[in-house]
Amino acid sequence: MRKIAGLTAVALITLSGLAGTVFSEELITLRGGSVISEETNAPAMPKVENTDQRRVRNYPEQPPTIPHHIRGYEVSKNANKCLSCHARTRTGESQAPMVSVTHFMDRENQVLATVSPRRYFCTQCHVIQLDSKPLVENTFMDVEDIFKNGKAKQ
Amino acid sequence: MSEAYYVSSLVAQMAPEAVEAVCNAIKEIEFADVPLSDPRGKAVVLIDAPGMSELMKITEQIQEIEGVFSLLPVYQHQELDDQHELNQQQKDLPSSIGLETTL
Amino acid sequence: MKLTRRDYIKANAVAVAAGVAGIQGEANASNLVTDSDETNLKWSKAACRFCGTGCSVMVGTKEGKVVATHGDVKAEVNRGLNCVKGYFLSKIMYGKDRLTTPLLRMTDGKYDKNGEFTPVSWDMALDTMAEKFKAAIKKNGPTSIGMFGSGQWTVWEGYAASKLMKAGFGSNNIDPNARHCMASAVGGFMRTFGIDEPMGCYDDIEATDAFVLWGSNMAEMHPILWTRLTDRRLSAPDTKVAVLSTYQHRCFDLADIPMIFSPQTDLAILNFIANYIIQNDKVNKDFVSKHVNFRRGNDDIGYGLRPEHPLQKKAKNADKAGGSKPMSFDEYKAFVSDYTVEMASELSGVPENRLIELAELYADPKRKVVSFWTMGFNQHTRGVWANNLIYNIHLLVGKISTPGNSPFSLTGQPSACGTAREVGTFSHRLPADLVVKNPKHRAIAEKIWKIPSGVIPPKPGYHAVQHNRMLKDGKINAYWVQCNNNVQAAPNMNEETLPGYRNPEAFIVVSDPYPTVTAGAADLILPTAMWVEKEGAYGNAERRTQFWQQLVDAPDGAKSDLWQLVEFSKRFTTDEVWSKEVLDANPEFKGKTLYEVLYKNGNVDKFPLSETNKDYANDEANHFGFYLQKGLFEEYATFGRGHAHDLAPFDVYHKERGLRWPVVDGKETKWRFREGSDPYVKKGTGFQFYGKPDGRANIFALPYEPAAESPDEEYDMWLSTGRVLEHWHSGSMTQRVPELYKAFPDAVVFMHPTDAKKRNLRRGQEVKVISRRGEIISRVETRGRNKPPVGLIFVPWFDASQLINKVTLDATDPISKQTDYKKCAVKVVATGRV
Repeated sequence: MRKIAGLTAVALITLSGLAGTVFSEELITLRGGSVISEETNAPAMPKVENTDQRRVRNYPEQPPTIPHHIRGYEVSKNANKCLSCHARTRTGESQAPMVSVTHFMDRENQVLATVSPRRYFCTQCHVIQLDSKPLVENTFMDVEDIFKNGKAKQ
Repeated sequence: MSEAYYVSSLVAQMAPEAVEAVCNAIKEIEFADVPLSDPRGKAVVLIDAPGMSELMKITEQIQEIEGVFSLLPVYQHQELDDQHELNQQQKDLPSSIGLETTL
Repeated sequence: MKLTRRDYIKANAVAVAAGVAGIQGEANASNLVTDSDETNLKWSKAACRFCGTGCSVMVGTKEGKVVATHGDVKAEVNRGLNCVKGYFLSKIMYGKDRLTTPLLRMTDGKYDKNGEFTPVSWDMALDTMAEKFKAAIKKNGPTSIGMFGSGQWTVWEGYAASKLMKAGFGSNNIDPNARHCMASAVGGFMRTFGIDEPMGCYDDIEATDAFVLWGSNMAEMHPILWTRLTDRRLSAPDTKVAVLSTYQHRCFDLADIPMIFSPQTDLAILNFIANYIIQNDKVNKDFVSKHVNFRRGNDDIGYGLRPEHPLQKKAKNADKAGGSKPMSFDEYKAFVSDYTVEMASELSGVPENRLIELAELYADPKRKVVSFWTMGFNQHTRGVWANNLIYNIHLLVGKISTPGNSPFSLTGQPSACGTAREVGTFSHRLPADLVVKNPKHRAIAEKIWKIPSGVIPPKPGYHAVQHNRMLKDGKINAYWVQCNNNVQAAPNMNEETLPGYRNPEAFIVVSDPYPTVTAGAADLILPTAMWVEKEGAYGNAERRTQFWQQLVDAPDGAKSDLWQLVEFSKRFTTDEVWSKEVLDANPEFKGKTLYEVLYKNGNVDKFPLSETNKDYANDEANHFGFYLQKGLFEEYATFGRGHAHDLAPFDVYHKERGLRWPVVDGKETKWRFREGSDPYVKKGTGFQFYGKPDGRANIFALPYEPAAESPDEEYDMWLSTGRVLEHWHSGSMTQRVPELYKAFPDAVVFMHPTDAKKRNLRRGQEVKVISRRGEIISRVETRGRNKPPVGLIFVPWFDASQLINKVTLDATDPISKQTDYKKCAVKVVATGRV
């Protein structure tokens, strides 16, 4: 019965405004167990993971997530707070990872001396992580694990 | 954790007649290699350097090789060592800097 | 040989670069361990699954799994970039709760509306479903069945669905979720130009001197177009960026002219700009005299509510909302003369100097200008008007159809253009801008489809919002939802959607890869293959059609929407669905299955399996025994070829990174309606708006009218809803990617600190957001990316646990029938808990 592991029974619920209509809603959606017509308490506001510990990427092309808070960081046409640590010229002082050289390339594939303006708004790709627990497990497999599995089979 | 390394791949463009000479010159550079080349005037350069400064230096060196028209960085990955990790402190640093200094 | 992480990284680095350089062959290098069997990923192109930008991505697969994705360097749209969602595409198919078996509500082994979801076989699922559809048609006719589709369907899925409904069941009750998203844009195009979709393309971004964003938060909703806009603004410092919105968002970080206006007053600002252009003698008289007509549109058109609603009864033109009469330029000039800068400023709250700066971007003949808009205009009870009014401005100054001069309607969904609009999966449309009302158009469709005359009904079917009302009223009795999550999306859920879905007189089928809230409200759930688990095609906002191959197999038990549609058609014969008159006049169709009539019709089954690409699987083609996708596409393309909607041959799209239609003689079209760049424009005309019989576009006189519901003493705040960067629509895919979930896990109520203080609320406090229709429980956010002005809150709709559509109003644009999700009145109160 593995295939219906996501299903558990929840009590029958009467819908307000639906005279006498009942239906069971035992499908586990992203609402957890709560039925559609019912309001549940809102989860507490999570905190930003602020460990400065870099996280393993799922695959090399994945943009690294930001391991620190960025509250109040200005990234506007006047200033870019992220680059004040991650720009090439600043990494000596900040010891922050340098913006990858791929970010120096413009739309016409020309290499610029500094970060291309099309990469200017960092948060379009790089996001903070809050300390919420994912609602659903993800079974994505790292390619290295696929290699290992392949070897184990052999 | 293991040592730090910076892996980068780039695409170099050159005149078709210069492919062999350019590729040989790149292979001469420490930490650089040419895993793939195309006689029509293209080559994939792979750099596996111990540090960012080496990586940048090699990139500049390649650009200066005679016959190289362009060098396009495609991919970069960095693994840092433990010591580096500990230094990832990003506090007490200067606040916003002007756009003109970074772009 | 031991493959280390470092080796893998290096092998991958080489593979990515080789892809960029277009070099093939075995890598060979002294510092590279190559065990090609192990390290080689198979890289293939695909269109991104998310927004209407239409980025191309490279997808790396290994042993039947997607293991990596990155931006496609060869794609013109995104040149190697992706947004954070795009970079995490690799993980969207791997939520642990993928559905793999049909689930039917049953009690004691039999279907029961109030039963519990029970796994059943595909045969039992489709047979039960067919029985319900047949019963409905028999009892109440073809208008008693319905289908709700998607701008996220692939092109051939939408086409197969539309054909099944209109040519098979003889029902026009098919509408896509694009009704919630793009209908007003379509209405605007059809009214002004007589032909759908933008005249320009993304190349306008690099060619222009000014951008004006009207109700479009591109920084979050079209991030890659935003990178292009940012690139242009920062590389060409004379470029100006004007941003108009009802609250401050990330686009304001780049704005030279930032403007917060009160909801609905964009209509007045638009008319002010037209007035400003005329008063300052900046009209391009030559262009206007040759290419433009003026019309006065009907006003006081109501709010698309149920007819018994007081607002509807009061409206004098509720039943002829789209009507208009010709007028002269002088009459138009007099009409807009009321919209002075003082008036517009007073109404909108935008300072006069900003409004003038904005108007100058359009008026200044030396400046090129691109206007972008999305849901701020379209989800608007005067959405079609807003679209018409922006075209007015561009037409008055002739800034249109030339590089950098572009009124540009951006699309929300990846194939709202390609599937919903071009294929015509709306209740009133047929492919290539044909409509069901027009007898000539129906005849064209019936001829291409090889079906008898009279099968396609002339009356448009129910539109999206009407679907839920008709389910509730018992008028639709069998209903199929594919590729969307409408219980989370449709407005006024408590009063319309949920009572409709749970009406004992209705049988609801939902096809989805995941257990969404819509699936939870269904009677039968069909587990569905997604994205690169099937061969697909999408069409983006710049008319670009893009293809991908099936790159991995769907989980066992899940089937694509296309498979489901075509398999379902086998369960019906013409005798069960067509009228006696049609069958008596066409006896050769008697007893045939809809599968034979619609898909084994000599067109769709024309291409043999041998034409599929042997490097990729194709589950649908193999199941049905012919190249189904190619047959559907080629039959569909017949509608538009030679009629300004030309698509290239099927196989071309598997090679190209997309092409912008019309594709004539192998060449795509970047700018339509202009001589020299559009092959359909006649020589010597300069410009030709050939969607209209006289080649002229319409400028419409349309007034400012108030919103359907505005804040009052009790419900004292505006509510605007929308998306966030990290989540796609209702979050059914992105909420299952841990990194995206953790970036923005729960919806919040973005609120001005002053408003919070007034209500004794602090950041993080639990609150209820209450409207006349329903409420949700959320938390106050006074910081962060969205900064509403006093009097307005913003709540995103991705969170299944905070269904803000319980609160939203089902008022629609009376012309486009699109819902206004940006404006209704609410109050915010503390729950009393912490």
